[in-house]
Amino acid sequence: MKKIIAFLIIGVLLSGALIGCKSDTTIVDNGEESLEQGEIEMKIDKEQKFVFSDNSAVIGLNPLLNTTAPDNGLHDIILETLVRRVADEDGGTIMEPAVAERWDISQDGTVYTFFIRENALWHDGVPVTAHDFVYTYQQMANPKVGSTNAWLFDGIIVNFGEALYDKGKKPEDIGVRAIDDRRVEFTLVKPYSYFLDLLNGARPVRQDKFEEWGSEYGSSMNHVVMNGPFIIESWDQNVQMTLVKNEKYWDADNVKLDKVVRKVITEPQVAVQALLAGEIDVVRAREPEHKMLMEREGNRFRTIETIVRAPEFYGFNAQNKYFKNPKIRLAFSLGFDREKYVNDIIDGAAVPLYSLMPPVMSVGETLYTNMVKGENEIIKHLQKQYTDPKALLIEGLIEEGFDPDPSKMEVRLATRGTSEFSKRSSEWMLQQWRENLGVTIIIDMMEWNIMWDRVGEGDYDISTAGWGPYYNDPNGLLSIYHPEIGYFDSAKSGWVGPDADRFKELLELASNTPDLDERAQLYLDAEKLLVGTGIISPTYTRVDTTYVADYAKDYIFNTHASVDYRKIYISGKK
Amino acid sequence: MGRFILKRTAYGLITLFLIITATFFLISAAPGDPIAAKVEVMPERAQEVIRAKYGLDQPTYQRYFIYMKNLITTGDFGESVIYTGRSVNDIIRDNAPISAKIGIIALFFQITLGVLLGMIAALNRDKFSDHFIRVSVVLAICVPSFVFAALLQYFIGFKWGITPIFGWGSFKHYILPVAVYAIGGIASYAKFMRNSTLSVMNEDYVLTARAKGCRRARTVRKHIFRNSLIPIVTMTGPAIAGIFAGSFIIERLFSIPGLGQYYVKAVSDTDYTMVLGLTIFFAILYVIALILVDILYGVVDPRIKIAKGE
Amino acid sequence: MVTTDTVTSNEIYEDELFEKVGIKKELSEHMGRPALTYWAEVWRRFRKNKLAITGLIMLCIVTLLTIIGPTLSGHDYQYMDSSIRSQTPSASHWFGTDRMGRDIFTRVSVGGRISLIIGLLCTLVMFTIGSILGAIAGLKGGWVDDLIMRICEFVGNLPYLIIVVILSMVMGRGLFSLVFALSFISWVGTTRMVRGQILQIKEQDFVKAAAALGADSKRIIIKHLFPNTLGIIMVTITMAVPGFILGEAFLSYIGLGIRPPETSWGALAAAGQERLMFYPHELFFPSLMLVITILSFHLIGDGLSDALDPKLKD
Repeated sequence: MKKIIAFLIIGVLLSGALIGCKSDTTIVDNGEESLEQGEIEMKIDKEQKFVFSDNSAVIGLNPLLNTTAPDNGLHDIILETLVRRVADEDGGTIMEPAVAERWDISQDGTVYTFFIRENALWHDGVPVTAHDFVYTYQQMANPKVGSTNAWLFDGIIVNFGEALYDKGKKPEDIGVRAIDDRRVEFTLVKPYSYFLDLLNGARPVRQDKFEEWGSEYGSSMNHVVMNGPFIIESWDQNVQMTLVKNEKYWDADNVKLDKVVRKVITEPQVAVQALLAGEIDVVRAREPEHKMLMEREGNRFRTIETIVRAPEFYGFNAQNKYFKNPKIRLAFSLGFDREKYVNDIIDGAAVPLYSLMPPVMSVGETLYTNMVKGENEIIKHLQKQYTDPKALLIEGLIEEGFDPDPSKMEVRLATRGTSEFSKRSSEWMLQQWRENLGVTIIIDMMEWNIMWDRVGEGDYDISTAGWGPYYNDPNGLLSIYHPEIGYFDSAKSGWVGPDADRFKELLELASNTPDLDERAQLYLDAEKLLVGTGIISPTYTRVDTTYVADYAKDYIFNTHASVDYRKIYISGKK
Repeated sequence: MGRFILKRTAYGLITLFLIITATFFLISAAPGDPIAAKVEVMPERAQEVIRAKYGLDQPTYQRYFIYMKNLITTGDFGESVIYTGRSVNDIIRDNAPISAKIGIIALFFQITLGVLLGMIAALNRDKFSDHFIRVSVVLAICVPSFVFAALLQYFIGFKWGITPIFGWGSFKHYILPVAVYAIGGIASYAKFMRNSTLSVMNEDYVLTARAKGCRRARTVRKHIFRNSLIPIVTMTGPAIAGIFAGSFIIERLFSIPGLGQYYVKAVSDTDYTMVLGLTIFFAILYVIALILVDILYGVVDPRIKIAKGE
Repeated sequence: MVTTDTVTSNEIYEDELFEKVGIKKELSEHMGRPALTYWAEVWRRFRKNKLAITGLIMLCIVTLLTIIGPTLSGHDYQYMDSSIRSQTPSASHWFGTDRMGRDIFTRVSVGGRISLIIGLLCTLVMFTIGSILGAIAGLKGGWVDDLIMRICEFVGNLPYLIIVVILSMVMGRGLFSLVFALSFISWVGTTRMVRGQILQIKEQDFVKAAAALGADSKRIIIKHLFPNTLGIIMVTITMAVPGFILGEAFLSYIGLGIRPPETSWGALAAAGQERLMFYPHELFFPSLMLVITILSFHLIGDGLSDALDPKLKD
């Protein structure tokens, strides 16, 4: 049993492409901590309050409808689902029981039965039952509810998609049922090994209140029922939210903090100043100058570096008159220096990507890169093969019957946002492509939702994109280019033809292949089609640096598991 | 007087109607999709489900009728597409007072200091104090507010630690935002006040008063001050309406939860109920303020009779 | 009727006017002369204003800099050299370099072109639309006036941000669309002002006299209304340019400014604002140019308004 659990590959639900933020952990310890281990209980401070900040406000508390990154981050604290993915101190992750004290998986891996613990309570004292979960999933499958995470379970849970898209099934027909008050059973379409990871996408609501409050559910702290380790004490949307320890929580005895405060600070430099001034206890810094400021403080702060599992890439519109030619696409993909990109634009705080997969992605327990012996660094191999991308471009132009002079070629680069970062990174790309390929680039600065809109209409040449997968498996990234059900389906990517069909087949095949080595190989073949024909051009994945005040102990997370606030405690704060 | 107000109100209502209609179609025509902004990324058919839920799958004109019907019959601005579960009315109720508090304090300093400085400059025309005030006033207008705010945050907040750098709550949190908000306004009021005082000082009635032997201080108090306030009244009306709109830059830089932040975010998210609701709210205030200005005009300047004025 | 310093002072001349016109009915061309001397007089008074002249000189220097700056420095404003990122001012880079290793002096010069062009073009658009509509409203009166005033109220209330966002999305991020977006609503104030001026002057005795003496309305507009409103209009123009320059800076700050790789003072200042704590020169130089330019316009505007105001004659 435990073994099965152990290899299940799970990650905290990141709420979208742009927010990838957690990763494998290296704790750079500034000393002392190991000395204290023995005397933890002695040194615990009287005031157990932890303050953190986020750059945007929590929008709402309804877990079915509010699923932006700040929402997910908060729901993780106030709402607990069946299982919980937590990071351990060595940088690994483990799946822990949460509302479910244990679970069984059928021999063929398609039926999951969760045993809900006796002492799991909502914060108003009502017991958490199997029916709450059945109700939650049925609501999600109901198109009238408009649940934003529902699509995650399409094709995973039996009849779920059919109910959601109104294809002859009702929400009551989905493969989630309560055997009794304490047992809930999920029936899957296929043995999806990452199913436990997905459970985070459905945090529970309770029928009586959900029906009573209707559209008001989650709109204020008085209109939500919570079952997490902390509950909301006060909420001033754009200023701060104060959470207090939930005394009804099943494991309340092991929760050390009395208070968690979540502040909203929009400007990164203001957040850095706030950390230095002691107004907050943790900050994630990106600017090298900000990092310097904190490193100057000596061991006042602990540093946690994490490789994020959300790759950034450029997507080419394969319907475009130029980019329908793979040589032209590849010329663009090969025509810039990724190492230089990372140094110039991100000041080294990233890993250049030659594969779509960040180095932290695994198949089973083993890192994907290791399983395929680095063969996934497709761009590197191609760069050796085609040393002159400009020649490749001219070849492509001739094939398509265009003027072979690249300077006559004009393409638009759509940015994902209008920030200074978007601006300078596209300016940098413009210079690289102009120098290496001799083409003219027009930068289209736009808000990212407008960019998605344009991508949706196929009205783009090159788009700036990124994706945070919902689980730690290459499929979580590759499937976004699934020609039919991916986010970048053929309509958006313009990718059709034998390659696209083969790509689809490979993904299907991989999902039915229990052998991990074989599966990794299938993923590699798929990636060779996607990256190797230049449909996308991976660029980098971030390395985040988090600074935690040294008195805030056991602040642990990685890219697959978010911070576990139950474990944090304050020791030695002046 | 009554008829005048009635007439202005009728015009105001027509203006409002036109504004709502224009805003509705503008925001519907704007590129970008509130659903995409709300859910960030999800497959197309999943988005269809969400769109249907918010009625966004219907044609624009139909949504327009539904919106107008709802607005007129219930006065409800509708539910924000992005801030699920929260009505636009709630958001205005919760956040407008914050913008207003900063705005009113800033406006108070703007008017009092502006009028005072403007008078001093005008009465000491071409002397040192006049030049000094004029140059500082122009300098204050010249510095973009985000630059000014960044400087204050850096020195007063960070280097010297006198005030908090950001946030909202205690008295100290008001200092920097109010200073940034007020500075430009003080300058414009001072400038206007100086000009208007100078022109009033040359009016016949002022010269007559002086000729009759009225003392300078009395002339200033009785004749110049009141008359030179007229343009200030005109400026103040729209300024009062504007304080609820808040200032986006100030609210963003200082992390203040006012309406200005919501407005800008709503526009970039194409959250059309939010944009419409806030626009209507601001427009109503603006129209009322303009009517008030016309009435006040009559009070301040006896020469203008409202009945005759348009 | 928003404006302040008015030109009511013509009352002083009314007796003279009556006399002259009364005697030499046909020689109306002579009316041109006093207008000429009027401008000479204005220039004489403007010259005496030290602050205004300083402003004029500073503006000339800044304008010159935007034209010849890139030639002087010998750098390309777009070229990024990662070996010289974030350098403080030096002999080869007078204003230092930005975080991408671009020469700030050159960028400030080139950015100034955009900022100045935007300021001037927007003002031109605002002035043209505003004065035409204002004149029509003021002269025609009646329902035309009412209609134009209602349109003003309506347009004045349109959400500025939405207009700008939509226009910049629909039309792209070029110079033209920025100018269009920024000046789209701005003419309302000019319209109101011109209308107010015309209404005021229309009631003046000299205009009534001209009308009474049989001058047609075209003549009244050209000979009386236009010269008499020109002063205040010129002042408004000088004051409007810095407003638009700051408007562009605001748009740049919220990410809606000119399409990169082109740049403007606003865009440079917005980029520098993030870096204030460590590289203050990145914020300082573009801000300095903004401040100098706006200051110049204000000083010139102040000088003009003093010089134009006959009541302030010394």
